[in-house]
Parts: sequence; structure tokens; C-alpha cells
Amino acid sequence: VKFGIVVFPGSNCDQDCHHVATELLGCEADYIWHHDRDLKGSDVVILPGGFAYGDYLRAGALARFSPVMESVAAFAKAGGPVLGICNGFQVLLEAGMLPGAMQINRGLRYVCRDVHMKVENDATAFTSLYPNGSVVTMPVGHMEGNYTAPPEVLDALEKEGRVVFRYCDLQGNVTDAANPNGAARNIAGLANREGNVVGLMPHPDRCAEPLVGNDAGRRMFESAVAALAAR
Amino acid sequence: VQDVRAGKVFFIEVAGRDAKAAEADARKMAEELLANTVIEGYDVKVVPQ
Repeated sequence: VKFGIVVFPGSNCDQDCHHVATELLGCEADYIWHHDRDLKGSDVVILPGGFAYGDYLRAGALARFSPVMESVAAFAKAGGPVLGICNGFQVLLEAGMLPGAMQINRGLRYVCRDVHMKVENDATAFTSLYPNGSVVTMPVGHMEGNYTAPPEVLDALEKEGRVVFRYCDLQGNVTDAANPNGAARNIAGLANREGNVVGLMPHPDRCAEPLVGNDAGRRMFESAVAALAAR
Repeated sequence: VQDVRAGKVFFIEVAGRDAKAAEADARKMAEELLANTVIEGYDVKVVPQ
């Protein structure tokens, strides 16, 4: 399995993702410069965290015009697994590959800490190894994670089971106190209808080995490998 | 005071376009990039020079 990790000017978690894919999972991985259209035969594409184009105008707003995004959209349309982490999630929203938008965090402050999430859809390309209803802990670090969409879009997302992760407390209770950024309905991660495109604000790439005190994120990458093997 | 809202203003100069075409250009820019219409609205004013 080969991971393709897109590098925008300002991406800063590309090497973390590369490390997880190669050193921890023993997979192949290649960086894909945002100006390239060739995905280099990748089986999985990751849009990593960071500050693509310095987040000028809005987070992800300029990155979505990068030539590579046409290839990523075509890859996703053909069923290829695409994961957007943090800034990568913001790029997916701006590109219209997932619905909704990010606003500045409730409280107007950057949030950098561990959060707990309840898994609500284990049928996506990146969550098959997280049983529904389980609680996963991952770190967040963002200024714009306050997810929003029109009420009818939120209702449709819920109805179609496209809310993948919801902020919760350690016991799995979805409460306002457990919501780090004010995201609508505590939404931390979403999928497209087909389940092959997933975006989330927390960082599985930053918690994928015991060395860093938490390896909960590793299964996200392993889920993609398992899903490809099962094809 | 009943409400306060902060927004962005873009001053865009275009040459060789009549007012109608310039407005169409600006609306396209707003729709595709300058505003995220999920969370933002926009307004275009053409000021001939």
C-alpha cells in the first residue's frame, strides 16, 4: 500500500504522516507537491495539517486551487480513500469535497490539547478499526475548528450517518463542556456519502505510537490499509 | 447598540471593462474565492474612476 501525502506551502504535519505510514506501518509513502497533478500511484491520499498558504483569506481557501486538488478530487470520485487532517479537513471543506465550513473557535482562542471523540461511523475507509460507540482520544491544535453548516445540511449528515466522530467526555457523553471549539452538534469528523473521503480536526498522525504516550491514531492509517486489502 | 459585525473589504481595480462586466467579474471572484458562502454573504459595488 502506498500513501501519497500532499504538501502545500505551509503544510507542517506532512512528515508526521510520512513517519506513520513508513516507519510505523511499513508501507510505502511519497510526498506530492501541490503543484503536481501526478499522485504517483498512491493508494491512499492524505491532506496533512499545517497552514496551507499561511491560511491567508480563510484556512484552506487558497489551497483548494492548487493543481493537485483536481487530481485529488478525481481520485476521490473514483473511490480512492482521502483523509484530511486538521488543515487538510479545512481544505476538503473549502474544496467542496465535504459540506459545511469552519469558523473561528468559540472563545476566539487557539485550542491545543487532547480531546475525546465518540466513534459514530466505523464503515468509512479510515475508521473500520474503531468500533462504533467507542471513545478515542487524540490531540487537537487549531484556531478554526468551529464546524458549521445550514441546519438542513446537518440533519442530512446525521440521517446519512456521515458524522464520523463527535466530541465527548471520557465516558462518551456528548456534552457542550466536551466541545473544544463550539462545533455544531459536537462534530469533530465527517465523511462523504461513499465513506472514502474523511476529514477530522484532531490529529491521528500525532498519536500513533507509544513513544508519544498515545497510539490511538495509528488505527486510522491501519483502517485504510485494511480497507484496501479487503477490496 | 443592537449588533456589531466585522467583515472584510476588497478593493479591486479592473481596467478596460464596463461597469456591468466589472461587476460580473467581482461577483464571480466573491462566489468562488473571496467569500465562503456557507458562512459569509457579500455585496459588490462598482465605482467608476
